[in-house]
Amino acid sequence: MPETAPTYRYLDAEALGRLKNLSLAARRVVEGFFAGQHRSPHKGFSIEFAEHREYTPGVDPRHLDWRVYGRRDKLYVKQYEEETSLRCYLLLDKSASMGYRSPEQKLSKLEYASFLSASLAYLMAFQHDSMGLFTLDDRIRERIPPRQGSSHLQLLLQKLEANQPGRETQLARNLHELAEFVKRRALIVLISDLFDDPQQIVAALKHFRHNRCEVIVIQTLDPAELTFPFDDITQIEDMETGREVTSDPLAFRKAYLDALADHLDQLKIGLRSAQIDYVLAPTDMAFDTFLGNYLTRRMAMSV
Amino acid sequence: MNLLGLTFLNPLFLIGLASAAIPLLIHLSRSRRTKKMRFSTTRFFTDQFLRSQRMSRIKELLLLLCRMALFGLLAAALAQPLVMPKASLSGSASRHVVVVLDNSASMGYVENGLSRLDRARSAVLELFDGFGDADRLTVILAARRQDGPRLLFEGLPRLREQYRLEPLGSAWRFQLSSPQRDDEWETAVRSLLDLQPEPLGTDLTAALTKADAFLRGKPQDEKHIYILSDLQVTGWNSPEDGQSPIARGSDASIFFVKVGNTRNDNIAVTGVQYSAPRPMVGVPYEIRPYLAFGEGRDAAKVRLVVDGKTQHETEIRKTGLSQFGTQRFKHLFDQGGWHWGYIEVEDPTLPADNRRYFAVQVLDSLHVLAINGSPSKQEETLDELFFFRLALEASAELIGSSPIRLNDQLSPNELPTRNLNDPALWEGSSAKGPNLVVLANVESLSTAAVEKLENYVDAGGSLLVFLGDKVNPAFYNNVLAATARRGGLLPGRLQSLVGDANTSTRYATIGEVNYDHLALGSFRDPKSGDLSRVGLQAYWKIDPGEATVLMRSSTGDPLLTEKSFGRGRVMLFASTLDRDWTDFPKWRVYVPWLYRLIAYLAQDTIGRQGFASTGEAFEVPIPAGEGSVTVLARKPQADGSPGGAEGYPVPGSESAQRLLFLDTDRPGIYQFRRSDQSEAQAALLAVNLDNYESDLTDLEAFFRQRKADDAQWPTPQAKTEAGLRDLLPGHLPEKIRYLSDPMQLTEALRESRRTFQLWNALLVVVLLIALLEPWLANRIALRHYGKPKEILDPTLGRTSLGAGRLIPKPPPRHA
Repeated sequence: MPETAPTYRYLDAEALGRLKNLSLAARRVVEGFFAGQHRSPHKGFSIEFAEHREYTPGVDPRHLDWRVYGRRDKLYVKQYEEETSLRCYLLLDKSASMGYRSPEQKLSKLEYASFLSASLAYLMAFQHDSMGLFTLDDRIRERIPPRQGSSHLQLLLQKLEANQPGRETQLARNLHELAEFVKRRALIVLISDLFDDPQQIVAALKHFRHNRCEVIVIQTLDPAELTFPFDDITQIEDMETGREVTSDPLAFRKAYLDALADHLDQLKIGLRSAQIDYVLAPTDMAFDTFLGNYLTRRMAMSV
Repeated sequence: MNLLGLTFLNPLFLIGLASAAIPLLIHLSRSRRTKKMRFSTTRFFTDQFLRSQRMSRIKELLLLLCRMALFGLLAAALAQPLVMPKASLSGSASRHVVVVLDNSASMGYVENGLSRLDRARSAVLELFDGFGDADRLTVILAARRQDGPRLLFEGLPRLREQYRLEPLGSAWRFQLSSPQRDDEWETAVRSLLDLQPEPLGTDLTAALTKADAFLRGKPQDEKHIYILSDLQVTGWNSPEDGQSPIARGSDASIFFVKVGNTRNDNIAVTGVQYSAPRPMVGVPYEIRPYLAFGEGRDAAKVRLVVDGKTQHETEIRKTGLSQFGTQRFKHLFDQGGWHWGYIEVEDPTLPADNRRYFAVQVLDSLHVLAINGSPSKQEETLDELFFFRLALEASAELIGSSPIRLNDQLSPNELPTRNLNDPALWEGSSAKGPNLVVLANVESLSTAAVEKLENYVDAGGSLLVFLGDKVNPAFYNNVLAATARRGGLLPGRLQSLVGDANTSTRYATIGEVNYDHLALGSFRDPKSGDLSRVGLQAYWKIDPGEATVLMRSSTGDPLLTEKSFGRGRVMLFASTLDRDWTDFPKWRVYVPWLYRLIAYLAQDTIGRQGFASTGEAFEVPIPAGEGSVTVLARKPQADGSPGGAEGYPVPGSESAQRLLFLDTDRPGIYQFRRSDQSEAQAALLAVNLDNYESDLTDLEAFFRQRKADDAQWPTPQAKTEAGLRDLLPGHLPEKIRYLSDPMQLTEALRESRRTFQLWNALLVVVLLIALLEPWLANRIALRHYGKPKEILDPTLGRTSLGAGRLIPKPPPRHA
């Protein structure tokens, strides 16, 4: 359907099929992706008893435990552990740089990220988890709060479908703003090329951690950005800033790659120290393979 | 070839300069045009990178220049460029000077009391006197010798502290200036001081080749060859293959120094013509010297000396406008055996070419076997051989006895039964066989007789056939002239009898005669007899076939024909030997005609007299002895007469029986005998100076004449220099100089240019660039393709990321 049907083109049936099979094996251990296996930290009124507390006026008398009242002559209210769905915020960087696609690749980074997002959304929907979508460039463009249900999934897919590269990245600032917004514990999945100041990005993501959110950072990069294979003298235009540099890529390939490696190192070290899961997703890797590998690794870590 | 002030020894390699464009073409073909590209971010491009990129472009350009220079300089080095800066005589450069000193006979030419060799020697010593400590002198003599030019001495230093050289009038001498002696040095210098012209020809070419070869590999900085010679044209022999006598790539400077003026007033005996290879006792022997007169000379006294005694003395004058004069001397030998003599001209300018020696073996008797086909015992005058006998006896009236022994007693039928080599045929003679067999009007012969004659002629004998009324044409044509029988003995086939033998009416006379033939040459002079008056009533018309026609009738028919058969010769006269068909015997010319034919045919079987030139090996006229018998040789005495020092023949390369004599430096009479022979029986051989040596025309005169119309070279010196450069193709023209006076020699040396072989320096530069290039290329490659920091994938492992392409494999190094 991705190519023949324009709608939901990011929902590659074959890829999702492979992920589903994987999810059967992983559902017991992967938190956040499969509901029923994840105990909510919030106590609610559910089937499973958690504890008693003293009755206070205003509480629904239906929750009074009369057996305890018989034994202790005090009114206690039964509290049950709430079994809740995961709340997942998918933060998708749609800045101009995400629109980059080298000639050898089929997908731009944004398209690749969108495929990942769609796959994740489907998985969430499949497990009855709620999933929200926020797209970012110089500001937060799309704000779809987490919800459950297939209609919500369709909405997400439609938004992803219509997603186009936007403007300059203001990733750190936007992440801070979102961290203020997400007060409850949630799973934050950021998909971005992270072409911003690494220190600021790490600081912003720590903000989420401060809110006790679980954060996963998936950095999508085009292979050309990782290898810089150009050898013709080129007038290079920055897709975000419009800055033009005429240069001989051969002459500074090593310098570029060193600078990139420094950038990535800073990110990795910073994110690791904040206990943020980081993964690099080159766009020449089939996204299902990537996701499968990634989930496998998370399973192994959990075990 | 000159270019940009450089001289190239192998200019063809300059084509290789085009190869310098190869790196440029590769560079241009790979040059990258600016393209436009949008990229996700330029946050990793810093100004520092852009600066390093500019540096890289400069380095790339430098690399390109390196590679272009590598190709270009290598091509230039292969072209062998030379730089010729001026160098002073007192410069520190060491020299090896090879003097090619012409000591040939012509260098004995005396001008103003000094020989040319004296002048040349003075020039050499003056040159030697100006030598520095590191300089060396070698002298090669240019006289033509069998074993090549001779080295007088080599590598002689100027021992200034030990010896003082000083000019002494026209000569030089050296004096000891310190107690230390150097015998070797003294011997070498004395050999130069004592050097005299030798009676030998000139071979400047061989001497120059030897000098050039000698200088090869010598350590000195400068190499000079000075050719001090009268530069005779005849002394220069360009190699037949058109190659230069100088090896290609030679860096020697060559100076041709002409010694002596161009004037040639020499008189020389340049040739002697003899009437026959061997004279006979009682037969006047004609000796005809040819004199070449130099400028301003038109007469000279000439003497004929035989066996050491002057026989004739006369003055020979130049004939007409030619440079030559000649005179006939006639000498009558009254004894057989070996005789020697010489022709001598009085000319003090160049004594070496005033004499021409000769040595002849005079025959005291010839043995002629005549087969009479028509003998007549009743009437003596009707006998076929009557007039023949009379003619042979004619010389007896002059000297008392005839040198020709005739046996006419053998009939045609007896011929097969008798051994021709039987001494009994000639009573009282030790003859080993007839020198000539005459068939006179013989009708026919048996097959055995014909075979005997064939074998006789084939082995070197001669046959003279006269026809007549008895002859059977069928026998002559089918047997004697049969081509099936080893080509046929008879020089022609009888076709028909023409004229009428029975009348006294002349049918024809003798017409055309081949006076160039040795036997008939003397009849060109009417004093020897007039053949054209001889009448013929009848004769056989002959088809000569491949035979040579020596005489024809007035009607054009062949009268006398000749052919070779094996090692011998056969002549056929178409008419009779007596008066039957011709009135020949009644004419005075009959006797000399017969003598000439007999002498020619008989002598030729004995062999030809050899002449040899000084400096050349010749074949010893007698074969090597067998067993204990050896061949003894004696060289001439100082005056050229026989009986000098002993010499030693050596076996020839072709056959051990054929001996060669190599020691021929002296002109005169050489004696050879077997050890079992007496001195009186010794064979003689005359050795003379090569007559080319008498031609004093020098190269300057030659080139002046040859390049007369060429205005490119205004002076004779320039013309000669240009001509000499033509003689040495492939050698640098600038390194060939011509000096018309030996006095210019020292000055020329002072001005001589020292060449610097630039190619050595170029090769060093090429080597350095070849070392620099990979270093520079690696520097650039490291900058471009150096291993970047590894980008680790925390999720997928370092290698799986980007399908293993996170750390790119460097593309091929940029050419």
